[in-house]
Amino acid sequence: MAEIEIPAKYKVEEVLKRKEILELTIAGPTDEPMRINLGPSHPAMHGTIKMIAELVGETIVNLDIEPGFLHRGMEKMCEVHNYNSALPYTDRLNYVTAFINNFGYAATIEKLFGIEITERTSWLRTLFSELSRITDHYTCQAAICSEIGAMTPFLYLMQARDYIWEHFNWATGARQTYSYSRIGGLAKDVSREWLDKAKEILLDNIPLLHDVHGLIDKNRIFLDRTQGVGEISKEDAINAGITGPFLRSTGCDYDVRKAMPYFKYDEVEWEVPVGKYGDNYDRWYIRMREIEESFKICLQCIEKIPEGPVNSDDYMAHLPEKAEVYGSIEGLINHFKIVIDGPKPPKGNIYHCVEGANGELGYYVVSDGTGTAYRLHVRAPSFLIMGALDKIIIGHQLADIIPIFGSVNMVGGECDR
Amino acid sequence: MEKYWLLQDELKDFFDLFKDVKYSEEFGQSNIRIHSKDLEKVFDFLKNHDEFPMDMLVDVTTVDYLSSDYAEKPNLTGREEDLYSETRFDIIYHFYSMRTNKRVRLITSCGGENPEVLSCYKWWQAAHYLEREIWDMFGIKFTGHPDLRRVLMYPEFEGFPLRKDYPVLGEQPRLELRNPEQDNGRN
Amino acid sequence: MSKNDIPENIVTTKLDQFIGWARSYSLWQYVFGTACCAMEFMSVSSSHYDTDRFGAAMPRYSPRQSDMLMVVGTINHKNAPVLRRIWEQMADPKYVVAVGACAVSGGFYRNYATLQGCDLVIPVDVYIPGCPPRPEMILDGIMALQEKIRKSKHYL
Repeated sequence: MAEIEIPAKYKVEEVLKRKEILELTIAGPTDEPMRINLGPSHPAMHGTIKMIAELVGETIVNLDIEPGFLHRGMEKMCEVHNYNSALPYTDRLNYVTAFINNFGYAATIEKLFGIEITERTSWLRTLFSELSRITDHYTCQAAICSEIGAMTPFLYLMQARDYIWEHFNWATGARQTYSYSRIGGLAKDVSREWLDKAKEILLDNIPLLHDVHGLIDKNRIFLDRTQGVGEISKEDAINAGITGPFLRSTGCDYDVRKAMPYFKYDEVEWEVPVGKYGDNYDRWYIRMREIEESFKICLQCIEKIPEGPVNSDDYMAHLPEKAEVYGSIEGLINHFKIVIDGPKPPKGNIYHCVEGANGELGYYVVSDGTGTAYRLHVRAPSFLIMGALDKIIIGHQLADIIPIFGSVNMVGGECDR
Repeated sequence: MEKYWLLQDELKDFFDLFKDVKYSEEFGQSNIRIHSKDLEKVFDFLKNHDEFPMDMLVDVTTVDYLSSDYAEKPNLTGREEDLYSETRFDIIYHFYSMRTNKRVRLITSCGGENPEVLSCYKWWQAAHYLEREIWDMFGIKFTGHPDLRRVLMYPEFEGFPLRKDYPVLGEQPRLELRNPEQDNGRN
Repeated sequence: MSKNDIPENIVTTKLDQFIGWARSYSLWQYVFGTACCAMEFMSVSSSHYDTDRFGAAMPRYSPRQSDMLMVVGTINHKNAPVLRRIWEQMADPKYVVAVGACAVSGGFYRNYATLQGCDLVIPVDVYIPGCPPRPEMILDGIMALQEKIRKSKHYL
């Protein structure tokens, strides 16, 4: 095919040099910045959040992010419920990874009591945490894809997430908010069939992940909207308190699971994927890699889970078995005391953190010796990212808000609590 | 968990520099209680330390010690009874040092009619939203914070909801609420 | 004209029933998703549960072109004026479905921040309980709304 010669005056570089176009594109009609309001109910703001952007042309010169549209007073509710009753509130922090929140809270209170959990519980918690992380990353990736315009990966990933959720339903009785943990154990055990089926589902998911990689990774539209957009340096990210995949995309390998291992993360083999540029594409890729690592951890957990009891012998905090409640006076009194007064930990304050899907999820508990926490504070990873997000977005164009915000994976319940 | 927290023997140069510091250990975690006038020096010290530079501010939060039965339990995290009204609020900082993988907890107090504390935004930008949240929930002013507004509640909200004297059911609706049983909204 | 004179390819009905039938199968929804239930709603609107079958297709994010407002998740006092404004922007006939315990009654958040049910702000037609409700329950709620539309009077 013969090459078509473009006349010089129609070439892009030449056109852009023309005076009237220069005025239009660079200076704009006026110097007054234009204000645009995004949210709180906006198709691309998955999660209710309001952004007020000041634009000069298409460029954002100032941005005000206003969270709080899902503030439900969770911390105040934990001050009026006893330690066991406060557990369901933690489910609804990051509602896609309810297991991680549950286990983080339970581990904090266990440390406060000094309760040792059993081997089987420890392994099961690791397994459930990682399955939960997979569903969270699926949700986040699906949302990014559908916001950028790729509907197919959204449907693929939602389908895959549904299989895992239905599997959780089998074990816990709920698809999304489980309250599966107990202080000192788990609500109930899982069967061997459940574990085998979980393995089957995980192995089925691996080809699906390859499909999503194939659809997105080299897609020109996706690359243009994500590569080099929303960059942040390692130092800035650390200074802004950003953790999780967002921090790891900048090249820092901080991961609570490696830095201060809890449960059984030090007994399984896995690695921390680390990015280079800290842009949207790196965050996308890190999440995809983390899903693979989570697969690895899950498969190892399923192999290694030992038989044994799930609840510890220490009945200081959790309810005794039903047979004991109805069959012995000690069990009955124990049950009564825990339900009426709540479990009573020693006085003091404690901070414990786990790796949530978005970063370090920390619980700070002040106990005054009664059955109710005097103060419970949740260190929410996406809240800190939202605090730093305006500086990342300023200077980009209006349309870049969507992929940048999508790659944060802001979850309203956790951010606003 | 002891190995992830900076304990007393590792913090020798800190205690050499700051004299009126109270130290206690709970559950293997260190509590360092300092006076709020020392905050600036402490932040400088922690941020620029040679051995364990605290490059990440993990969390800032506040506890309100208003309730009366609490005054009878002064030992909690090393509080003093007589300074009660002046030290109604405890501000708790959690720091993390990326290089040494160590954490430290710093506690300071403030109180009075208009509680005020130095903002650490100059040292750690992570304080941006965390301190705004504390202002929103407890009404503690952070001097030096560039943009101290409400963050989770709405601007016309009165009072500070996480203070112990704010009722749990203290709703302040922004709209006139309708009665769902009388008015069906249709004509 | 007696009943026997009508040709077989003509169906007679009442105007109300006809309009109700048409409206019940073209519910365009505006999803006011705020919290946990919105995650469940993502499952409902994707291929596995497929709301397209009920004429309630993929969400349209414009209140002016939608018939059904789905309140999916907790509404707090900060968000209440936003919800009211969206409801006011919708053109009649409009229907409201409250999905999840929080939207129905505030759920277990009884405190200073949370609105105790979105029917304190806007009138609600169908309540779907659950925390969060299963996808089947949401589909059931949509079908209940269709039933309600079919049976109600429609003024032209």
